[in-house]
Amino acid sequence: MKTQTPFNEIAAIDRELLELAPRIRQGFERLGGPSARVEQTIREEARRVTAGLSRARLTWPLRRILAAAASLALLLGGTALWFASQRAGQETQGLAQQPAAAHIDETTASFASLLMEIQGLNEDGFFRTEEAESLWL
Amino acid sequence: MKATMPEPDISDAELLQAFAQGDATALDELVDRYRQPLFAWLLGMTANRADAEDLFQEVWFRVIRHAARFKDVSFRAWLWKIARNLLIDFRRKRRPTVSLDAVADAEDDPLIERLAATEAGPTERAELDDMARHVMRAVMMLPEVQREVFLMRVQGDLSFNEIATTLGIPLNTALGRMHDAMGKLKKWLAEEA
Repeated sequence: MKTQTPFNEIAAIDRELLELAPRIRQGFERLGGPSARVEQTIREEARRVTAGLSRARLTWPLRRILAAAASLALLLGGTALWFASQRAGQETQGLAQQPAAAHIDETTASFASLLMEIQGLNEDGFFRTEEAESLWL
Repeated sequence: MKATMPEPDISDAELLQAFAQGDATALDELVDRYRQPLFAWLLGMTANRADAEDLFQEVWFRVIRHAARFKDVSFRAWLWKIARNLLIDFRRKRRPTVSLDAVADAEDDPLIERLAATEAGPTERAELDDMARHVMRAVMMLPEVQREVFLMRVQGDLSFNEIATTLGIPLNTALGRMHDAMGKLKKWLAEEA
């Protein structure tokens, strides 16, 4: 609604109210306040909420301890996992650095040498120096 | 105008803080302080005792639930802001298609008849003397926008700055509404005297 009578003097309004306000308040007081049932409901709700707050406060230290323990366990577990993964990574890296072909060659050569040895065809034993040959005979 | 409520030893904000920390009696004290002014405002705005009681209860439930989050400068202004928001919601649900201003602007508004019909029982109705009837009739005849400002000032003892903030209107508009309301009331009460 558009105001038709702008009025900016708060003090003037309050002066006028001094006469009017008591009559208004008296009139409303005669009508009474809220029922006792409503007030009781409000008080019960207030007590229910504050009881909840108290319970929350009592359980707070336990919750805090549990949370701290859980955090510590998580931290330790995480650290252990990290170390394990680091070690596994290093091992994998070491294996990868060894040339697989050379490894296989070496194994094959030893095996061939063993077979030759069994058959008495080992080249190392076939050729002998002259000094060794005289002794061998 | 500070005639309604003398300055208490413990401020409203301190009581609310005490309640938020678990002292239920602090809220009892707050309810005691605002029982009459808040209920009178709600009664003046709804013109129905049952509705005013429902809203009164809901206002305090909100206060209880949100006490820890109170950060306003004035508890009183916060309380009336909650009350007004609930009143708006309440009216939206009840009369979704009728403009509040249209209803309140009509000078032959049946608000006072509804109030008379719903105020407690017949015994109490009989006790409502002429003076109270005249006052109530005059206040109920005010357009709603003027009535809410007037009752916030007279019953709630809110400052005009608090009223303007609560209603989201400029200070001058609040003062203008108050001035208009007072002019009408003085005229009507003088006629009925």
